[in-house]
Parts: sequence; C-alpha cells; structure tokens
Amino acid sequence: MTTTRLDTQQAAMMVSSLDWLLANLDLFYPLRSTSSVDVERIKPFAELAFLCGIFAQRGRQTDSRLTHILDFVDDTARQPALRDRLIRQPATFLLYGTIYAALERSGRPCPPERHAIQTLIDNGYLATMELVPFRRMDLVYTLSSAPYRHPLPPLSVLYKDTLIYKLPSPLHVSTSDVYGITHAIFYLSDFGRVDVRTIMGDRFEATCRLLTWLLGIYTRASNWDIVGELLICCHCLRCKAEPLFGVSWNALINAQTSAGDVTGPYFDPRSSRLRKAHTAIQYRFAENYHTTLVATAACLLEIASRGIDHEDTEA
Amino acid sequence: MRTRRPKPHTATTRASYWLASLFRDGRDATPSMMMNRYLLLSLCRHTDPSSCHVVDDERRAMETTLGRLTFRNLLTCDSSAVLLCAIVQKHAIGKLSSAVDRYVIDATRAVATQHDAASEYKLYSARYLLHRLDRAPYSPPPVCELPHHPGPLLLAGEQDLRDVANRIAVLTEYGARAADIPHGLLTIIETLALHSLRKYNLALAGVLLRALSYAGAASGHGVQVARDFLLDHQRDDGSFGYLGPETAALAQRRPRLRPESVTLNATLVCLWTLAETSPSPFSLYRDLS
Repeated sequence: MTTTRLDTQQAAMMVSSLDWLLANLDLFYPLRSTSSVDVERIKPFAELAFLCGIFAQRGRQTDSRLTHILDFVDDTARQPALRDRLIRQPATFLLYGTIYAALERSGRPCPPERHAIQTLIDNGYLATMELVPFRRMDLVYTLSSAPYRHPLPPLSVLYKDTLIYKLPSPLHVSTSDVYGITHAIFYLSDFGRVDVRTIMGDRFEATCRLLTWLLGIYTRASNWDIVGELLICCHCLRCKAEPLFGVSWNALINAQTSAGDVTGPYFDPRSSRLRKAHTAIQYRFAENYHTTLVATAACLLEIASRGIDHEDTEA
Repeated sequence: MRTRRPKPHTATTRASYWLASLFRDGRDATPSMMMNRYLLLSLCRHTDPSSCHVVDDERRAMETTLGRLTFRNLLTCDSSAVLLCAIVQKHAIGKLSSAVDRYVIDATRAVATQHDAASEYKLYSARYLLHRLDRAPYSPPPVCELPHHPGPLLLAGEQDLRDVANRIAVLTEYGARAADIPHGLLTIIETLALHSLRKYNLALAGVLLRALSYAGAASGHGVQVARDFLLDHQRDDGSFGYLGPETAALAQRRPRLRPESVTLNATLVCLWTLAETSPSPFSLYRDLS
C-alpha cells in the first residue's frame, strides 16, 4: 500500500471513473430510435441522472465532466420519445420520475414533466403502488427531493417498515437484503445531509455495528458494488469504524481498472463476450456501469465532506 | 419477537446423548473419529457434569480405543490431538495405559529435538500438552509476531487466518495470560468469523472465535451473534450442523467412511467454541489435566 493519502486516492478514483462514464456515455443513451425506448438502457440512464443530482446537491454542478454528463442527460430527457412516457406508463415512475427529479435538483427544471408528475400524484395512483418498504422510501425520496406535493408518509415513518429497522443478523441477510438496507439509509439520511441519530434513536449504534460487519464481509467477498454502497452508508451515518473503513476503501480503490471502471459482482474476465471488440464494450458496460456509478458517488461524498476544493478533482 | 434459544448447558447435554448413541452400534470408527469422540466427551464432562452419566463404559472404551490407535501406528497423524487424548485418559483414569505411555515418550523425544525459531510457536501446543502430562517442564510461549497492519488479513487465505489465530492462542497460553493484541486485529478477526459462518465454514469460524476468547474479546457483540448462530444449528438429535451437502460429498469421495464423522467434527467444533466463548472462564487445553 502506498503512503498516498486516502483523500488523494479518492479524488483520483473519481476523476478516472468520470472519464470512463464520459467515454461510454453513448451506452447510457436510452432511445433505440427517435420514437422508441431501449428498455434495458432506461435503468442505467436513470441512475446516471441520479448521480448528477447527488453532484448538484454537493455543489459540483460546475465540474466540467459533470456538466458534460448533465447536458447529455438533460438533452436526452427532453426527447419527445422519452418525455411523455412518464404519465402514459405510471408504473414505471420509479425510473422515469428519478430522471426528472434529478434534473430539478440539478437546476434544470422541466415544467411539462413537473406538471405530469404532479398530476400523477394528485390522481392518487402513486400512493397506491404496491412497493416493498425501501422502494416506498425511494418513491417518497424522489418526490420530496424535487420537490413535489404528495400525501405519502415521511421517510422517518416508512423507515420503521424496513429490514434495517429490524436489525437483522449479519449471518442471515442476503445480498438483495443488503441492497434494501443500503437504499433505506441513503434515503433516510438524504445521502448524509440529514443526521439520523434522532430518527434511529437507540437503534443507531446497532445499525452502525451491522453496517461495519457487512462492510468487512462484502470486502472479503470482493463484491465492490455492495462495498461501494456500504461505504456510502458509513458516510451517511458518519460511522467510519477503523480499521474496516480504511481497509475497505483501499480495497475498492485497488479494484478500479486502468480504464476507470470498477468491476461488478458478475463480471467474468474469462467471458467469451470479451473476445470480440464490439461485444466486449457492451459486456463491460453492462456488468460494470452500476459499480462504477456507486464508486463515483462514494468518492464524491467523501471528498465533499472534507471540503476539498473541487479544482482538486480536475485532471 | 426473538424465540428463546436453548441455553448452552442444555445444548451440551443434548449433544452428549447424541454422542452416546453414535457408538452404541459397535461399528468401527476411524482414528480421527475416535479422537474427536474423546475430546467431545471431555468437553461434555467439563461443561455439563450431569452429562457424563450417559456413557457407561467410558473408561474401558477410552483405554481400548487408545490402545487400538497405538497398535495401528496411526497416532502420528496429529500429535497434538493424540496428546490431548492422552490427557483425557489420564484425567479419567488417573494414569496412562502402557501403550499410550510409550507413544507419549516418543512424542516427548520428537518434540524435544525440534528447534526451529521461525516456527517455534507451531510446536507450542505439543509442548504445552506434554507439560500437562508431566512429561516436560513448563515453557513460556515463544515470541511470535502478530501483523502490525491487520488490514490485509481481511483478504487473506484460510491458512493465514488459522496461523494468526494459532499465534494468538500461543501468545495467550490459551487464554491464561494477558497479551497485548491490537484492537484492530480483533475487529478484523471478529468480522472474518462472521464471514466464515455465512459460508458455513464452522471449523474456521471456531478457530477464529476461540482466538477472540483467548484474547479476552469474547464479550463482543459479534461473538454473541456467532454463539446464537451456533446454537440455532444444533439439530433435534443433539448434534450440530446441517451438513447434508458435505456428507453427500464425502460419501462420494470416500464411501467407506462413516458419514457421522462429518457431524462429529462439527459437533466438537461448535461445543468447543461455545464452551470457550461462554462468560465462565474455560479453556479445553488449559483446563484438562
């Protein structure tokens, strides 16, 4: 391990991952033609938009790399083929709504979509959607962050229905359970902008303990997607227990490839899809984009919390 | 609402009944099975004295089996385990049978002639047990280093983890002596123990949890989570471990081996770990004499 300070390594990691995202921006484009949507690319596009919203919340919207990405998201989201799907397919709100809420947070308002979303809320459908507890928090977080008027309970109430509120044993939770746990904490804490100690009460310490155990467990398992999300949770709760926090960060940084992406849990370096150039790019993007987005967000949150001047993140 | 788990005392009693049923059919067992049986018997007697009444012919069975082991010249497979069995015999009968005594003398000579500063701590368990048999003077634990930076241990292989756990056991003389063990190392070991249990590697989890106990860290929340898990994995018949996949794999590789050998090993590991991580100060190596 080098003696380079962790913050410098995180800044370098973020620059490198943003460069990879920029280099693969066309693979985030969700439209198959001017009139049809590639349904497999809506989720990556929505998650890219969400990342932009996090950057904007941290005052990074002037970062040149982010501006380029945000322009891409903004231009694409306003395409007619995409724009009107939200109100015509309300069941897809958690994807499409994320895009427009993120643009609102990024200072790129979309008045027609705002009207459409508010109409959906007012006609009552969103409040009746069948959702698991952390997805219900996702919905409320999306609506509240833009913000839109809505009748749904606050996040502090919805949190009590989630798995993390029940403090499960670290020996029983599955990987998909952990995703539910991480997302509940993201939304409850607004990615670290809200101090959740008063909300969690006497559950706070046990929650930190559980997250720290899971961080160590998934670092050993080399699941960088979950490790990135758990590091974000540690940031959200301001609970950075050593040595596991530092060990996991170092492991995540070391997992970044020279191209700037971070390998996802199902990426197989021996996959036959890597043998041909055009399938290799698609495969690598499909398997690694999410982990790279998560790692980028984790770096940003750590850097922002230390108040490092954003010029330091420019190459 | 959390369901109530059986208290460890009860778990030991249930395990001892299972153990008694295991050898009642008179079928032959491998040396490792027999060694594990005696270790488990000793564990049961120490942690729950009321359990000893279920094995009627314990003394004769121990003499017979240890004699059979020496006759077959199979004792060299694991000198520490055999020395432990010798201690068990001495504890139960008051003296060693001549056959076992001859082996202990050979083991004493073999250990006494080995000197390797780099791995002196690996010989320590044998030296320690020989001292418990009054065959060697007390020797303090050798100097053995622990990782200064424990972080890489989180990604290390199983053998490295066992090595660190062994070093802790030696440094602390199985919990008898306080040692300066970095808190960061103990935190990582606790996490590794939990990871091992998720992978159902009960043996490795046991080694790591017992190391935590020797280091005085058995009262941590992680150890309690692990103990609850082990208790949850005691079966109705008193044995530990839901080991269908492992038993099936063993049956395919070694069809003549008794499938109970897998369960016997797991039951020993679980009870040993539960006993040594309990609030009352107990150490199998230290407390057998």
